[in-house]
Amino acid sequence: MRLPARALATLAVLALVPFVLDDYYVHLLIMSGIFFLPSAGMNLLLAGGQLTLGHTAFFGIGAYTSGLLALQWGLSPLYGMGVAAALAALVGYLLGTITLRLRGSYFVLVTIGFAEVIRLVATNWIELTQGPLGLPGVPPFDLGRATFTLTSKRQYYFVMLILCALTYALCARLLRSRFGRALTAVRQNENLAESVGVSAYRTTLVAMVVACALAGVGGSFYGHYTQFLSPELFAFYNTVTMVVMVVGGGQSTVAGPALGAIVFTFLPEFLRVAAFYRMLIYGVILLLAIMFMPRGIVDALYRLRRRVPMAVTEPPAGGEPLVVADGRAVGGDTPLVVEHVTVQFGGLTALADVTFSLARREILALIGPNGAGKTTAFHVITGFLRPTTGRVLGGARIDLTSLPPHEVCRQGLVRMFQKASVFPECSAIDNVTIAGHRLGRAGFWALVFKTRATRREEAALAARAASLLQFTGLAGRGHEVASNLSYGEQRLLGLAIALAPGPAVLLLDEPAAGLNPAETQRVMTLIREIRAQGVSVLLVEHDMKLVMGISDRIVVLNHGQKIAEGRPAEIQRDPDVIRAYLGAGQADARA
Amino acid sequence: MIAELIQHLVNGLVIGGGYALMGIGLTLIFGIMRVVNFAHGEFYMLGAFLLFTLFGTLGIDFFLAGAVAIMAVGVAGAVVERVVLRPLRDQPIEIPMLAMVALSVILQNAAILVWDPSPKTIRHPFSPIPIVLGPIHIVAIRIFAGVAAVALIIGSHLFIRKTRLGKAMRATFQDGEMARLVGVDVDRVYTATFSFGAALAGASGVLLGSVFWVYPAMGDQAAMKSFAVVIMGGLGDFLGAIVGGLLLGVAESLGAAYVSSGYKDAIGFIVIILLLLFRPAGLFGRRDRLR
Amino acid sequence: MKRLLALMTVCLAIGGVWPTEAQQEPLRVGMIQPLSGPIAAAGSYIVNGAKIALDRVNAKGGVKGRKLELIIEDNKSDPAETRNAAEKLIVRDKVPVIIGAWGSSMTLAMMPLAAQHNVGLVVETSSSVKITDPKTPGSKVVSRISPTSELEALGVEPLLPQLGMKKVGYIAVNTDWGRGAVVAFGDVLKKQGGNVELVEYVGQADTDFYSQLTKFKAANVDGVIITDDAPKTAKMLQQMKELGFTAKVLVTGGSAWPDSIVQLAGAPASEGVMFINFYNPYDFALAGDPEGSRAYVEEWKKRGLPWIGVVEGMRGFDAVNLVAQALGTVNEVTPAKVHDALRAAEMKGLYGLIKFDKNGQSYSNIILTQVKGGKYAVVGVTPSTKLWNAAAAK
Repeated sequence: MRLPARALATLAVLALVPFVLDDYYVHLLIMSGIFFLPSAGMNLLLAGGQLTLGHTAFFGIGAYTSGLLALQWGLSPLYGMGVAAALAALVGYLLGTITLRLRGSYFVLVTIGFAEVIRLVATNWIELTQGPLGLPGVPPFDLGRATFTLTSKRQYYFVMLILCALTYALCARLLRSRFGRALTAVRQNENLAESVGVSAYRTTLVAMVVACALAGVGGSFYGHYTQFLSPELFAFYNTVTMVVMVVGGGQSTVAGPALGAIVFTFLPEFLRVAAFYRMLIYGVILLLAIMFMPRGIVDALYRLRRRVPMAVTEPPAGGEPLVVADGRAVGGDTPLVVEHVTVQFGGLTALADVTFSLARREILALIGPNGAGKTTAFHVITGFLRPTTGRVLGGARIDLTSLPPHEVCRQGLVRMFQKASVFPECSAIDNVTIAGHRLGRAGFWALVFKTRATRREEAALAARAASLLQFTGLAGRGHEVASNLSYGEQRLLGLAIALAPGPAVLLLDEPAAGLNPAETQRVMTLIREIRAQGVSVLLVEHDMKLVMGISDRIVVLNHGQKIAEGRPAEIQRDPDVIRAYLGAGQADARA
Repeated sequence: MIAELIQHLVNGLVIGGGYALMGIGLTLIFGIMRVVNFAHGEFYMLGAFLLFTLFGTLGIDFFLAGAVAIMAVGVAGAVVERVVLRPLRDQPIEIPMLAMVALSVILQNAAILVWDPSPKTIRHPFSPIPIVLGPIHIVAIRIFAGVAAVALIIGSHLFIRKTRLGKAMRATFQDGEMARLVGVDVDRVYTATFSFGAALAGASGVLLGSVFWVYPAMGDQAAMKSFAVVIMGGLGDFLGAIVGGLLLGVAESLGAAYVSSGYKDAIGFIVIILLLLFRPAGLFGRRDRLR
Repeated sequence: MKRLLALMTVCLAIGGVWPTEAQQEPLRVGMIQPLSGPIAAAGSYIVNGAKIALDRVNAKGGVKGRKLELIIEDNKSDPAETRNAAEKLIVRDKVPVIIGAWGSSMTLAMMPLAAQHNVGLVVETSSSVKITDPKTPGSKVVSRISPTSELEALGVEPLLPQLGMKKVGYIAVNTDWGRGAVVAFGDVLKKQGGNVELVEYVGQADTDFYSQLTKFKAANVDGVIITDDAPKTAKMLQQMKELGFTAKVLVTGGSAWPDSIVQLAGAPASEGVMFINFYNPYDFALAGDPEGSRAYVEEWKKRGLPWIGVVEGMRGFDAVNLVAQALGTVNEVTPAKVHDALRAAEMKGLYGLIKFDKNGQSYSNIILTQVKGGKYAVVGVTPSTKLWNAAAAK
């Protein structure tokens, strides 16, 4: 196991602290460490786009669990800490199942409410917690047996240091692994993440469980260090402290919460010299910090140093096959069948009894005037919308109708979006690497321990991402941030993203929209190349030159109904089609 | 039995009116600006303290002092939006939220320094002798607070529905991009929204501060309540905030009376969690695309 | 003769450069109080009282010629912060004794640390029995001058018949203080044939008590006991009037008193209400130290401090005087010696006769006061000396 030299050096410096500074500073560092644990957890969840404002509830649950077990049943705090972590994780899991399907801001507010309820329970359930009377006499921490009880601050400090180092390593591992990429994907573009096989719900749920377990550990250690528990632990201002540490330190970074924990524990203490003005000055400093360093201290420090561009892995000599055969029924003669699909929104019928199928290695175009229902059809096929009646079948007639988007991806159907088709804050190469999520097999613990198999997998994913960039012609732009790419480049990146999971069926939503003729040609060439590699393509397009030039067959929709189906030449002559387009007014000028 | 029930209901509705005012402000700020205003309780507190100083210390007429206090808080809100929130507008949601946390620390501790932490009563001109209406006892100040709250709510509703600025606010709420494209001055809308929301919180502080008492930390609890109201009513839902506020006031009153005082604060949040399980978009189910 | 003169000159010279006690640094003592957060008002009263005592001690020459200094730290009304403040005071500032920390959970949070360093704690307000319970870690360093709810109830027991409460509704704040008081006063009431029929706990930030009071009214209680801070108590009384609910009212805890309630609730709502107080700012002779009491009250008025806080500020006043006295008796200022001196100390203070039993608990005067004709009136007194005698007799 290689540990970066910088981390080891920091650890060494920290280990020397109790021999150099007096116990007051050691105490402050212990408190920083205690708060670092839940903050690191909160940061993990925030990396996935969910801000939990109820985190102190898990901190308190951990503290009371471990404290009561030691006080009432004499359980060694070492094991009590394990139980505390498990209980906090379980409660977090339950809360997550209820709340993580909510949109971001609802989640924020519900977690506040949840913590308040827990606080009131802790305050009023006198029989269990002694309520506001508090629990004095919580036994000190020990290492499994009474003979290994921690007595001096120094001992607590070193145990704290170990806990923090482990937490830091865990979070670093997770954030830099496939799991971390999934979190980033969910945060930056949830729909896109879903369509490449990342389940937003499942990913954030795992993050939540880890976050709550960490909070439980922190709370447990707190209880045995201070040896007194009271329901103030559940008060909202503790969560606010954690948020300040995470966001002020630098969210979504690994070092952010650690730096934030230290800075925002020491700052109010140093401000004691200001006596009665202390909290006021603290508030002012905090406000100024946010206004001048909105992305946190770590980010501000990065900006001071020049960023070294990330090296892009060179693609291997041979070409990479684009379809990954994973044993599932992505083969068969008809990888996609849309059967009598009707979609109604209240009184509006978006799709009416639409049936068509896509043959293997076929390029099928779905066209029609605006409002014909083409995008709706895409939503239904890829699982973003449930049809009112009808079915969608994948290869070997697997029913895709009620599957969520990430499951549809797993069945081999991937979609490229028309708008918002990239993860804006990541580099191009990272975008494609993230999108290869589905191909990774390493489970949670394999990622944490970075097994050899995991490392091989990571290398393979990176190589694949590089070769996909080369395929779409973006090899030279790999380390550019996606939002800085030109519109045309973003569309190509979107295509690379859609190819990353290794689809058997590729759904392209207006791939040529907004592109100039040269770029459109490039796209056409790529689509043909993709088909040559065995992928079936369903595309929606308005650009008639591209449609007529590339499609094997065309399905025409108007007002939600299929009005024609056939080869390009037939469609061009079909009177219904002509009427639909000319009658509606707009035939594409380029046709 | 019925007499008590009616008394509890009336109590709850009057307090609920104050909650509703705070909830409307918070939900508008959230709905239009996507800012989680953690300083909302401090605007409430400021309204109450300004009334105390203008009326109690400087001797200005009670109603005039109240109106001036509310407007002053509105101005403060506008300043905060311009100076603190506008530069942070493009940042993800946590950043302005944290800025508001910092602001609340500043305002609360400044209040401790400017006015001392000793609790203060506002000696309003209404008689403390209760008016007896059948089974209900109610003091004039509470009637005034209830009526004033209703008037302010109706006024807000008219403002949002009928005035140009109100329409601009609604447009921005539905689709910010679009509103910009049709020429809405989004900057002005944001400032107006925050100012308006803060003023409503200040109004709630003026009213409830007169019914109860005034102290620097009074905003903490009020803020918690307004978050509950906003969740119940649906984020950005004006009508939902009104109904949510009244509902919370009544639920707390009945809860304290018939369930248990200790858990009464939990009742609001438990209702919310249940609501969110079964009606995730709030009372009126108006789905709101948030992120 | 010349040799004698030379010797004397040498001695004088040495005496001149030898460091004297008076030129040493000031004596520093720690104090932790809530100066921000919801309890900021009470904390500020205590600190103000402490400062009055501090200035008075120093005006009289300090402690053994050394100036007494108070290092005041804010605990933000929070136990964890109290621990941080205590760490700083004990480890950095190396104070031998700390006064604090107002709330019981805050005090309990710093007790393990204080015990570890043998730093004495002078507890001026906290009322939880756990603080002087021998089973609680750290209780051995505690010297508490404020009474527990049990002691309050004990002190008011002989005066209870005057209240004439049989069926009681109890409203208490949902903290250790409120809950402890409910138990203590419930027991004492039972001994006298009364009963607490209903108990309602209210949150610390609650402002509306209609629900609870309506319940009491419907149950036809003849007496209401309140354990809560002054603003909430005032609100409860006002709301009783608004609901047309009349009953005899007793307010416990020592912080709410006739003048504060009349100011906050108005005279009509406060009329007849009785309070358990520990200090009478109008009757200097009642306090153990009449001269000190007079000086305290006059200085409080002179500094323009809020009058409603004068019965709380005395806690800080007594605490500082006690510490000063104890410091004056030790030959070496170490935490252990100071603590022993505190425990052995006997002082006439505003609380009454302050000395400590084997658990570090003192008895205070218990004064039953009332609002009569809109003004402060005393109904009865149980002096601390009487309580000490009764305890000794057992």
